Amino acid sequence: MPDPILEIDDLRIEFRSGGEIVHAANGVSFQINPGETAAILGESGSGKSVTAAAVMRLLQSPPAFITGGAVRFKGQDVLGMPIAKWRDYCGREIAMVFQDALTSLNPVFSVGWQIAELFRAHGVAFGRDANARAVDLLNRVGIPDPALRAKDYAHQFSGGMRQRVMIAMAIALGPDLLIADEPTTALDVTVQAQIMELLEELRAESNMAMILITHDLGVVADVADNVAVMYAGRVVERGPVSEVLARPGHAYTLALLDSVPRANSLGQHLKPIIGSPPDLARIPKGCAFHPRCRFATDLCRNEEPPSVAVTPRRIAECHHVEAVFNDS
Amino acid sequence: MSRLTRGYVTNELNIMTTAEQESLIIRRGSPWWRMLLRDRFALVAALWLFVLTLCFLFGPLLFEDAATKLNLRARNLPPGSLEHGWLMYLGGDALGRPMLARLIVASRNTLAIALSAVFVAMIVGGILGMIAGYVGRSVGHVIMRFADILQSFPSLLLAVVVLYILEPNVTNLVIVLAITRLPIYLRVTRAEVLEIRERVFVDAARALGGSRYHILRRHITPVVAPTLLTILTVDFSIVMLAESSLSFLGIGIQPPEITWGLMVAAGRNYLSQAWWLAFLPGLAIMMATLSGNILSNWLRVVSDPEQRWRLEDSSGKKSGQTDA
Amino acid sequence: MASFLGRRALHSAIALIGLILAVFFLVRLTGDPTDLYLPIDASLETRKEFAHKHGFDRPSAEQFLVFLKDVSNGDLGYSLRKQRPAMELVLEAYPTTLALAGVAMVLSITLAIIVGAIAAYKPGGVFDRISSMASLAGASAPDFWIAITGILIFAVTLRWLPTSGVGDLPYWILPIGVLMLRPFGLMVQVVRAAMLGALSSAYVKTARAKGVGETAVIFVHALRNACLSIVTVAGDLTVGMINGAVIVETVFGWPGVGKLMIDSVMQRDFPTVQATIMVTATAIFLLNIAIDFLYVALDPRIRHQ
Repeated sequence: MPDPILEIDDLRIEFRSGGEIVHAANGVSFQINPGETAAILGESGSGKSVTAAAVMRLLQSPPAFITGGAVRFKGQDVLGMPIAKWRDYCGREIAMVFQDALTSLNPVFSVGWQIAELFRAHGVAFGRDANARAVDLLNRVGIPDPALRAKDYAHQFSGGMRQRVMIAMAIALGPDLLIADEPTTALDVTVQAQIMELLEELRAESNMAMILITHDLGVVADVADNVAVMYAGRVVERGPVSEVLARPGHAYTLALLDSVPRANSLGQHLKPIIGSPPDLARIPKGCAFHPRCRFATDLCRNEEPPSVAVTPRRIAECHHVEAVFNDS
Repeated sequence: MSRLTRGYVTNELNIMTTAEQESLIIRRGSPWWRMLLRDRFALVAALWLFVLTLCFLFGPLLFEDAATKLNLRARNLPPGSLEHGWLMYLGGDALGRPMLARLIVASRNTLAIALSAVFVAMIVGGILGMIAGYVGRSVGHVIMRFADILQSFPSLLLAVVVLYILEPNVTNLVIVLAITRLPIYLRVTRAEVLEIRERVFVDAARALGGSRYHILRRHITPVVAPTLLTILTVDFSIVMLAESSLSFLGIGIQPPEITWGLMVAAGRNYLSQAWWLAFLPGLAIMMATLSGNILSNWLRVVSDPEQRWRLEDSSGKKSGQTDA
Repeated sequence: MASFLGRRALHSAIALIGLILAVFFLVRLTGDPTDLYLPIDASLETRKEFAHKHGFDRPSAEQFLVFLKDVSNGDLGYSLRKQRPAMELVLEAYPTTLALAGVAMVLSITLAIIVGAIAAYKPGGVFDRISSMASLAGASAPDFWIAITGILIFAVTLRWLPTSGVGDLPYWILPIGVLMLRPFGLMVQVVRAAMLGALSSAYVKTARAKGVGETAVIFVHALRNACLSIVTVAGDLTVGMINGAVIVETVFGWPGVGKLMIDSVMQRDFPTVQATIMVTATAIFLLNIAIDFLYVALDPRIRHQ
């Protein structure tokens, strides 16, 4: 087994506002190996994007506070290193693609300028050289007429094209890890597939590792090797995608699978998850999922579930792993 | 793992300042006076404005005589001594009249003009803004161009010209000052009306057969009014400064009436002998305008979330929206 | 873009014409305009002659045409004080005001950007609180009082600076300082708010994720966007600058437009007052158009509309 490229260990993040504390991450543990694609799956409010922002050290403090845990990138302590040193890793070795490309691109600079900025900021190339490389990148991510379009601004591109620009920026310096935070959520369904294809293609070309943050089960099934399912700021189940999606070990994963149409559920009724995600300022006692869970017992209401090794490569935090496992 | 606390995030800014904490606590919906007690600056500002209100209400009644009584022995008397009675504590003016009494009496004109002007501006501007936003495009255009004219010309020059052509008495002064502040209220009201009028509750009221007047009065006014009142507190300071400037230039209120601006102008001639004659009334203006500005800043912080809540769908009010 | 600029220019033009109309009607609102144009002790013959010459005895519509013709020729009458064309006096005074306001404008905007940006970087921090208080005080201060207090301290007591007049650098310090105060105070608040918005935006996150240094994040990515708000209020700021110039020029005895205006008002020299209004309104009209062009140059989103 190679050393993991990124390790998140018991990460805890709070948002303090309005006199209340929102527990956005409550001991998130996660790791990814070089060249691997891992998905973080969860509803909005499950803490997946906050975790990614914490890894990139993009959280504004206040209101966000990291109250515990560690993040290691290539064995280095991320949260403890001087911010300037970490920023040097950013873009060069670890890169990120954001959800909404329109707001994530600076509206007053041309996209070519913004891509070339990566080369300038990291001292790789300057002036015309940097611009020429930006045009090459636009070409690589499939933007027609790249030399001309490099002079255009974000608002002049379509949603899909904008996301391609974001991707071009992320891969400019050939990072070893790419974090894609809901890269297709803001896009049309047809364009979504193209963008995922592009990401997967670029990833395979350079053997880069990719963390895909999404709430879309289909995307996870298509591209990811491993998956971590998040609920209320915790990773409740993780393991190889093929195994987890085929036979969930956590009641939440099972409920999630039952709530979306699948090939083998043809003709069956979809079962939406009852209730709504918990208020992160008032996370239920015991297992956070118990108010919405059909397996819930008094045990779930009072005690936090242990980590159970479902199979040697899988972990689920559920009091009723076996019942769930057998039910699916 | 608690060694990794705070500090490792982007801005390395770990201390929540009291001011910020206060503004956050305010969201929890404590009564306004408790919020005021928590903000020291706003509290002092409010107390000072309260004192000024007392001066405004009772000052002339109590000190009118003292303020006009000549005392040749107290001419240009320096401040800081109780020898000639407490009214002389802030010194005497060029004719030996007690500064303190004169400052108190002058507060009435200064405050009355400023208050009347902002209220006139708010009411007229609000009504024009409602008409511009609600009645129709062409009327709206005409009103907006009118606002352009007023806004694109320096207000002081405008006031100077109008007071030159008309007569510089209190009524005209109030009218002129109100006119120069009109555009703000007009624009804000129009913008809010345009926004609100698209909202569901107005549509509902219209569907139920509400008349235009009824909709404006019952549905739009309650939403627009808090915003206008917030602007009013800022404007109070601006108008007070404008009035003082005009009086200082000799184009505003004419003697023997007194305002703080006039007192500065009068004291200017004695600058090297008796600095307090010009300094103290100016300080009074500054303290009043600063209090107004501090209080309006505070008001903005307090009223903002409420305003947002008022305008937004209440379901999105307080959910765990942490997944940015 | 063209439609944006065209619409804005049209609005400015309407405002300018509206103001000229307002002057025409205000003058006639008070009764006999000859009262305004001639010295109080002018004889009846002089009045009649003047009224006839300027068409005040003819129908209003005709008077208006004459007025427009005079305005477009720059013929705004003779100054009653100086017996010279009023227009000449105004144009002579303008360079002084422009120099004073220009320097104050550049200085206050530059300083406000630096202070506002630093304050917005750590909202609620010590610097932010001090600069908020200072800018609030600056925006609340009566400029005539600051001017007088400045003279009292630096000229009368310490004797470091001259009390008034025009000359080399020492003569400029107090007037510029006083004139800067309010625009600076207001501008710091505008810059701070704009920077606060820009710094919490998604594109700033992207820049940080790209590994761009903090200095470039603040002064390139965020400031370039905040510039849009700054330019938006620049017009109001200039208008406010002229208000301030009236006070500063009067207190420090600078022969600029503000002093000319006040002196003319005091000595009831209406043609000069009128000429000052017209020239100032035209200058603001041109400035507004310049600002709109600048805005278009700064915001590509408007450029491609």
